[in-house]
Amino acid sequence: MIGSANEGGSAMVAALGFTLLLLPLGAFVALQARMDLLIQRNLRAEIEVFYVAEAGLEHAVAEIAPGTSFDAILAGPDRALGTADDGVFPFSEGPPAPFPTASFHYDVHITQRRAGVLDLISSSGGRTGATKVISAILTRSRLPFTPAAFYIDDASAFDLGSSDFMLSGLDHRITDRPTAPTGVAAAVPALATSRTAIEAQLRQRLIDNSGHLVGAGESPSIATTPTVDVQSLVSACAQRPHVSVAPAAVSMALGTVDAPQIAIAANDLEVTGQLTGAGILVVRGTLRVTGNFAFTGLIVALGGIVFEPSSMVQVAGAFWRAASHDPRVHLDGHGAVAYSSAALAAVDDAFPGLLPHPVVIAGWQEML
Amino acid sequence: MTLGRSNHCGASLVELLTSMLFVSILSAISYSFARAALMSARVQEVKSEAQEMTVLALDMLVREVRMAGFSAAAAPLTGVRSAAAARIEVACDLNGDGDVADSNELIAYSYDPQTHQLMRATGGASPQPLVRNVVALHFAFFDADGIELVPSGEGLPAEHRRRIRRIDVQLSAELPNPDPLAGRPLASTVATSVQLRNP
Repeated sequence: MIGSANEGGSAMVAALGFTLLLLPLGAFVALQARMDLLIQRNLRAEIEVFYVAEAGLEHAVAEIAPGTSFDAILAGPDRALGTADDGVFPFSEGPPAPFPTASFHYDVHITQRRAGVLDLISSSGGRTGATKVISAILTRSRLPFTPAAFYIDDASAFDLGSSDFMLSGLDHRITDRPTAPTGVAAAVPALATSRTAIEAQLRQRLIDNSGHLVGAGESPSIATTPTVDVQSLVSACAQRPHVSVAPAAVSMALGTVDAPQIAIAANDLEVTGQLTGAGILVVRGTLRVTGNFAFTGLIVALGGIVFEPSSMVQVAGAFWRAASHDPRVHLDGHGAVAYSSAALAAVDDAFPGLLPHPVVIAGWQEML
Repeated sequence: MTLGRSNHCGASLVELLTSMLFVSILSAISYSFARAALMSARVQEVKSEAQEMTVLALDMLVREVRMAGFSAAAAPLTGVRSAAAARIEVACDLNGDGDVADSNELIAYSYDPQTHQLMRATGGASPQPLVRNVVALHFAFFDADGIELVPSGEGLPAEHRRRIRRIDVQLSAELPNPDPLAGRPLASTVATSVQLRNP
């Protein structure tokens, strides 16, 4: 019994010594693991906030509608210049909610670098206090905004008729035939609207006319695009020097490719003979064509559009129609509305500051 | 009785030898266990070092490559000046003075297989080692449609470089294994994709 008590002490000393040997080692491993964990956590947080800041930038850029200046953006959420909120990006739905979860948020601010050029700064915050700031230089595209070869705000009575009338969103040079485009700009949809529900209706209605609607996207080439402020364009056209068009046009020339002009029909316009033109043609009433109609540039209509079976219509450029009390868009007869970036660029050169231009990112920078 | 008890109190030779044998065995076990634990800790440390080294190097590389083509003057700029399987040179105009001659405006990353180093050069100067113990650096280039642009020995020609929209990077490093009984070095391979934001 005495002997056994003496031996118990040495085992304990051995165990304590062994523990003392391993304790610093264990502590070192634990510290190292903790350090690695912190580094990984910081790296992860940095990557997360980077993409949150990117989301802020993309959100803001997506909300900048095609236009002619950035004044409305620079005025801030209250849309008034010279107030305290100038420089805060005016998101359409108010300040952005946390994204993608409550731990993350972004803020977007804007400043004018020089006329027509904006600096957009997106700063984000996330977990563990991580922050990221990225900036983009925004400007307006050189080419005017073109939603489609044929843009309509509504589709209550759209009918492509039974003959061979064609809508082409492929880029045509001014002299190209509708079936043989040689332009190099990216294709746009043949037909576009600003509402997804209308696109679905049109697609269902025009599924058998796939060959007559060619352009970007799946066949038939129909898409939903940002809303085009057709009324503002019409008002702006009226402020510029223009010619007035009589309601009944038997034979008439409304400008040429070399000398385009703005022509405005204050009411209906009926083309029974031969009408040619270049530039911008605004028709406030119904456009009805039974004869030959050839136009290079942009046609803007506020009323019904009726191309009778006897008509021959050749449009190189684009055709836009606002929502109208006269829902008819009846495109029958022969010919085409063919997208032409060259024709629209010529109009833009002749009448600068009139056509809307989409926003483009001219520079991207990670700041912090 | 007293004498008898005092004789029994001392350790006999057999007891001494037995206890020495027992202590030796215990020490051997303790030593091997402690050594294994120590080696494991060292291996873990080196592994972490390899991982951190590659992750941080890749982070820096990605950050700088992503800036390719940035111009503070919003002027068109060729972002990727050289694109080969193990070398890339990117340019940006940070101060908007119209050139890429200022500091950190022209940056090249390359792999030196002789010294196993990731090299970084700025402003066209001679490359400086950024990370040692690198065993591979590989770039793959893709256009906007996701089609790979495969560089020849000389790298991609200018018209292909202008089409680059995405760059995949893979970086591998190997550190010597601190455990002499383990033959294989400790490796870390990291990879990522860089979307070029600037036009």
